[in-house]
Amino acid sequence: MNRLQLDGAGLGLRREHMLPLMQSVPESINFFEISPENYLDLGGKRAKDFRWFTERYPFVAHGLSLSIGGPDPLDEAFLLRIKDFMAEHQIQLYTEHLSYCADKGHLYDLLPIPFTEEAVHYVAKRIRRTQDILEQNIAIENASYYSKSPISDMSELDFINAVIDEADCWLHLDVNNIYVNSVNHGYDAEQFLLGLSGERITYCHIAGHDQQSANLIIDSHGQDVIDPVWSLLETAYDQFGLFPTLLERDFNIPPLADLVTEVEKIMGYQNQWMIQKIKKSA
Amino acid sequence: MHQPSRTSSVNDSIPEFQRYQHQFVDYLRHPLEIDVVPEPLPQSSTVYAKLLFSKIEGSLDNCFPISCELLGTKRWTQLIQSFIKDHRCQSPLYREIPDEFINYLMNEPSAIVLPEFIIELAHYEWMELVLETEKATQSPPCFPITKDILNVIPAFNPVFHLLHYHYPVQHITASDPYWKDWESGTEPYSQESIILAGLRDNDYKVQFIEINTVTARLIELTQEGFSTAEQALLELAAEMHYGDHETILPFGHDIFKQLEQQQIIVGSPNE
Repeated sequence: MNRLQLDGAGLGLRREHMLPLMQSVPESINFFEISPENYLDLGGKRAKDFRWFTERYPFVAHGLSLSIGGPDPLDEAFLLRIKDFMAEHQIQLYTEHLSYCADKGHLYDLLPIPFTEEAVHYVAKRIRRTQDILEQNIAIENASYYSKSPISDMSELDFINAVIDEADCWLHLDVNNIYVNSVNHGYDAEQFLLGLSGERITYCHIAGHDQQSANLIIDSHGQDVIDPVWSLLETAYDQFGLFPTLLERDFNIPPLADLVTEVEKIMGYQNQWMIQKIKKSA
Repeated sequence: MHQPSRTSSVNDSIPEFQRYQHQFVDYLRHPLEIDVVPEPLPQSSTVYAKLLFSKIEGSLDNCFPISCELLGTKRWTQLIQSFIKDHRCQSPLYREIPDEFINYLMNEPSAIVLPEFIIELAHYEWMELVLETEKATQSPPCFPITKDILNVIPAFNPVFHLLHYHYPVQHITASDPYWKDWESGTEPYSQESIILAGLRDNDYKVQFIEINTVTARLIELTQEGFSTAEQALLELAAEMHYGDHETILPFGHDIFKQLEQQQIIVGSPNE
């Protein structure tokens, strides 16, 4: 067994890359991430291969279907399944999107919660309940969205900060989502980043996206990470310190080597931050 | 004129953001029936309607390639639209979207009427996914069969299903004119009883093996009664009013050996 601590840089585990990774996991990859929804109660070859990874590497469970901001009652039976799954694979961290995905039935997509005071209290209460059931803190991710609700009575930034503060949970920072939203909704990405409750960040995502038009980006995780997003990561480290950071790639999946280059780049920013810190303290 | 209704009074008691969420989801589930995005939803809601459709379509295209091709793009699209509109998916697992779709096809009235053979074909295509991904039930210890197979209690493959169809689903292709031209055919397809043993083998490969009704019944009797192979065989003989034990025992022996070779039977709970 060689289970390292959740630290450094990681890669979202895709079925396409399991075989080459089982032959050799590059040094730069310290941990992996999956969605529990894809592996919960799974059998067969993929389940067996997945176990090979969880026996050797730390994992993050990045949820898709909890619908933390949704109108249906919180699915506690589902949470208990996630809890068992995490225990079985010794997964320490569970994160979910600040969004919803069901209304009397699942839609398998991440929908935007209107940013209202009432919604803050509602979501925070459900996050607290989730943490009680899982008996651990969870991290909530700032989600990308394409449609601004006209009934919102607060800004996205205030909404995120208010929810995680009231829920007393961690923040799962996604720097690509900040960039996507800044283009889609016309705000300054760096200012937004600097306004987040940085002390609550425990984990970070970086990814690419599809620019469909001048003011519409779809958060597809289907392209290489672009420079402005790398620069947001650098700013996040500068401002808030280091946190384990994972490269997501879910569509248009290139050979493993291409993604490893990007994981190494994450590691590069982390090393650069440490060198600067040492210099400052010297 | 505005008529107060039960629905609106229920809606009044929920927070505004949830009322908005219901409106948003209602729109996403049937965007085509409405020419413009209804108030108060922003025009950009169309982006979500497209994303939702393409996500569901992607999952279903992958699982049901032959059904999709036989139905043709237009009808397949309409079918997916009505699935999104009318069905309420209960599974939080993305890989179970096809399970929800099969449930919809088999149990819920759809505006899109499908010929029976397509529903069976879709079920067969779905079973491939089921067999590939099903978690094997926790089975008691299982040992290789070393003595005469008739004297043991056979243990079945933990990922194994007997599948009964009325059409030869395993032979249906989208290129065969017999099936391709289903809409213009004047005669309905004749029905026949097809039994397939669907299983996942030692190499994680999905297999569909056509078996006859006698073998299928023998499997059922063995599974139901937890009896030895010989007891199941004698029960079958009794059901068939067949009294000649001299011939039925070697006949049954061969069937059980074949089931073992096909990995339908994988051992015995006793050493």
